[in-house]
Amino acid sequence: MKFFDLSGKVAIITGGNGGLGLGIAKGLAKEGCAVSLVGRNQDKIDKAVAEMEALGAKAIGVQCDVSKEDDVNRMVEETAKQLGRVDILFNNAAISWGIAPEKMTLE
Amino acid sequence: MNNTKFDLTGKVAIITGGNGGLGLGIAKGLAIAGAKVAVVGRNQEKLDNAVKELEAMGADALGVSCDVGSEDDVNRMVATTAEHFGRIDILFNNAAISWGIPAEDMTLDQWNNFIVNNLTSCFLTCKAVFPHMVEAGGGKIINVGSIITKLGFGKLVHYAAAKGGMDHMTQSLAQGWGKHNIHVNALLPGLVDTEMMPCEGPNKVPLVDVIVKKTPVGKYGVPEDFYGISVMLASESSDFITGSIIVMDGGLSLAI
Repeated sequence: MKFFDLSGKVAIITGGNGGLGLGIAKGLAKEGCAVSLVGRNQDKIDKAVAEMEALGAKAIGVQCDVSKEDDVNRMVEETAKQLGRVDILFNNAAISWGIAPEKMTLE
Repeated sequence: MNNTKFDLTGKVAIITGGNGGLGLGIAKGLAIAGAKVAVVGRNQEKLDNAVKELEAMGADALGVSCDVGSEDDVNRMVATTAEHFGRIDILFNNAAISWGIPAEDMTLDQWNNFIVNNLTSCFLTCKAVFPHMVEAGGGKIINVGSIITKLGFGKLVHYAAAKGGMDHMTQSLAQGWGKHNIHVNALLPGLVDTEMMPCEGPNKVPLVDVIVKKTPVGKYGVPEDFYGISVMLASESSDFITGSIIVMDGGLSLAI
């Protein structure tokens, strides 16, 4: 009996081209999962995919601005097309910076 | 790319109430991941059967008879396990008794007896394994609570009090023992098909169908559902998780 087996599964990891997201992608790949790494920076995506492939993982990179519906739909379709299915989604992409609430504009 | 973060080879686990139901499920999960398991219970016949079941799976298992409400008994149980297996790395505080009775009908003796068996027992086992875990360089303690602590039920005030105590013990033990590399977490199951809460057959709990209907995943749990989370919380894969209270109820607590 095998626990934690993800062979044959496909995961999308937003913000998967670095940091925690790439860590998540590596963990999933260790269990046999194919991963789609999503980010905005193509250079970081290429490096992340190369890193994953060096580990023996099946990985693709898809450039996407996750705040845009068209872009998100295209990213999911691209993943499904290239990897055949979608089983797992990690909503990991995030941006953050410090600013006092009184200085923040509505935009 | 084999992942060894879930491997429990060479580790020794104590599971109180491990002679049946959810506890035996946990023991099987840990054994599959390579751990040696000491199953603890009061009923010797159930213990013998549990050990046989585990051995039939190829596990290294030991049955230790113990009343977890008695300090002497707990200390003896822990010493016996340490002597037999040489170390203690993992403790699942899973033993529990339960029955429904409104608070106004409960006697002080019943209350005290209940708290001793469900909450004090947890203190006693944690205290007894502590030196062994320090000696082993760290440890994993998992307190099996109940989603009752996220809800309320008028006929289970005593149960809620004991399980609520366990949740908060979990957090403060995690705070206190983190420096010893001992990680303490709580697992809160919802409805699980066991001898204590039969979900099928002639002794089926009357509320099962109503509860299942309200549960987002549309089913009750079975002991096998706890294999994965038990292995995770007992292994290196959870080394950055401590003081967490993990609800495992198919979403039931969101829906009622």
